Amino acid sequence: MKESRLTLLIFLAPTLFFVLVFIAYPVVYSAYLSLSEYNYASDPTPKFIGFKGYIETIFEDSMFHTALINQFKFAVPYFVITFLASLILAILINELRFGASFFQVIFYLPMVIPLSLVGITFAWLLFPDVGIFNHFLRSLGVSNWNIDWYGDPKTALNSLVVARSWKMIGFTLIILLSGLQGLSKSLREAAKVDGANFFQEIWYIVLPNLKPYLLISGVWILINAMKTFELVAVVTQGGPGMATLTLYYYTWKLAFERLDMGRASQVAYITAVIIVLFSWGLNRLFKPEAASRA
Amino acid sequence: MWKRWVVLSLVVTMVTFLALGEVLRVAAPPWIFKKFPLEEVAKRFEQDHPGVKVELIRVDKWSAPVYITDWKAGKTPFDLFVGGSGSMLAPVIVGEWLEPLDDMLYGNMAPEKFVGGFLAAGRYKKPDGSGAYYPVIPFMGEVAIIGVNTKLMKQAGLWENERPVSIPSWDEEEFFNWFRKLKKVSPIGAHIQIWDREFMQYDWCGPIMAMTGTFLEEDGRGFDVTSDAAKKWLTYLQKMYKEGLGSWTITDDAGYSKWKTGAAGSFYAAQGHIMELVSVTGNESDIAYIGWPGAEKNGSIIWTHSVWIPKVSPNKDLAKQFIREQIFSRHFQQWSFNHYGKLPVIKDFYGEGITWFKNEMPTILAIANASKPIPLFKDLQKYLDILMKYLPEAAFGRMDVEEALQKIQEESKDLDFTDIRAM
Repeated sequence: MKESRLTLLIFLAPTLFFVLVFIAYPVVYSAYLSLSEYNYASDPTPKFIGFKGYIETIFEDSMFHTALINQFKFAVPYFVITFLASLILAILINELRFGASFFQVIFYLPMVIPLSLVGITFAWLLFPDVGIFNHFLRSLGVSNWNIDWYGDPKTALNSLVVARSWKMIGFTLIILLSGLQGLSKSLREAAKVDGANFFQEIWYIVLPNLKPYLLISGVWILINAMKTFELVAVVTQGGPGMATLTLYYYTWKLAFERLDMGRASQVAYITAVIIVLFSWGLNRLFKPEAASRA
Repeated sequence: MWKRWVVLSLVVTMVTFLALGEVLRVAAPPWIFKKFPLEEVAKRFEQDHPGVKVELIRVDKWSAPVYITDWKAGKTPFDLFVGGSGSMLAPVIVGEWLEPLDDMLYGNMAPEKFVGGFLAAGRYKKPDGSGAYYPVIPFMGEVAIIGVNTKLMKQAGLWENERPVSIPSWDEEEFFNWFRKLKKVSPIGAHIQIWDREFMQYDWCGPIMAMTGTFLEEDGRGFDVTSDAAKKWLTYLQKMYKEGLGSWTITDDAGYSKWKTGAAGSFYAAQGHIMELVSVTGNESDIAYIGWPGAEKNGSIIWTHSVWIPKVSPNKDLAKQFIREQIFSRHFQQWSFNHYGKLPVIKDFYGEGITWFKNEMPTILAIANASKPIPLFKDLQKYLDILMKYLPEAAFGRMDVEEALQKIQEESKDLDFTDIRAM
């Protein structure tokens, strides 16, 4: 018995080491930092201040308020576009008799491109003077169409939404498609026999049975919606002004521009709590009944 | 027996050390590699000092504070860093992580040899309050200035006696009429400015400096956001944007692209950035310089990039030798000006050897000599965030001018505006 425990421990040791050093320790230490005042360059050690820092961040830090508002302005359209587009595309591809694999590959391809590269590519596509998109718009006859998509505060955040959705749709599409392909065909055939049209089939048969996959996709999109960093860092650096300042980018700014590790940890933990709360909400919304899974 | 092993180890270490020679690790961002002959001078240094190897390290997206972790452990990935403006280096200067370089200021680097304002940008208060010192030494300078497209200026009738007609004054009608004339021949907009975090400071302070001779509040607590000049400038910015007389971009590339397409008549940027655009326009004579009204007398904003050595570097003396012999050589600094327009910091280097933009030099130097660097407030990073939040909002016409200036005052009232520079 002792030997088997020892063997177990030996095999678990590398993973345990990894989890403890690279996950548990940073989580615990950053939690401690979030309860401290600590400028990395000038303070020798963190100074414990309890929840005072959280209270200041939530109620007094106007940059945090801007980042929070921007984050939701980004997350809502991103969630809706990515979720609906991948669901609609998955349903359509599932209906195809030929070429389904081709479209799966096509839509999945952006997933293999690094997000920073997507940012650079879209920055060029949407460039005001020489970008292809404005050029296309001008070719439609609007001669002075010269929108600076990423440079104008009115359009910058939504332009980021488009770039990120384009990249991420492929992944949720694959998840949903695997769910659709796993559904029993007899259910839809029975609905057809009862006189249901295509849309009624989708609404009453497909979507209720797809709930576990909708939940996974929803949570994944939500987490990504709240983790907006690379695109902002590469394309807009939070600008123009603070028009694209997001929570993750603000965390980075606090940590590596201001070197304020305490405030940076507070914003990171608040973001984590928001993600957990929304994931819990989604879980409640899409949680399948035990009976329907049986 | 163990003594033998110790002696043997020491001998092996010394032989290895002598065989390898000294290695000087010089780090710089990619733009320095492009705009300065760093690789060439590294080879020269190796030739001048047999046994010394210069290892060049290219650092993308660098940030000085990220090296603090190494420095805290007594290590450093480089011995000498070439590059870094004041605001980029402020956190590591405050933390006293850099080697004082005062002992270098003699001979060809004596203080009187420098263009005054440029050397001053490297002088900081000692944290213990016992005077000033040089943790960095500026090796190149920039001045915020307006470059104009001479072809468009001629078409707009803003060209007299082989020189561009300057913006007449800050009087609203005269000011806007000048840009309206330029707008007629420059379809994208008469004027371009880059509103990123770094250049926003110069966008705001340069014109106010030209107008009044200072860009600071009377009590020194931050940039001027309360005077009539400040209100006037923000109102003008907003009006220029709304009328299409000003085109504000948030990246260098977007600004350059507008110029490159030939559709913008003037560009407020660093003199070097504007000179580089000659590669697009094709001829030096396609670009001329002017200042905001009053800039030749009251000045604009200058900034510098510096060389610096981490305190924990094991090769400090060699690094200092490299700075003196190569970074401050006539060849290194003039090459950069003649190819990329970066201003030398040594007065003597402005004469023989300068081959580029000779006709524009008097205007550039007149403005540069009267200019000042931005102070490095202790809470500069927080302050820049507040400015970034409100100034571009107003400049892009999304916020009322009075409201933006009021918000800046409110949110910055508790910041520490102690200047860490010893100006």
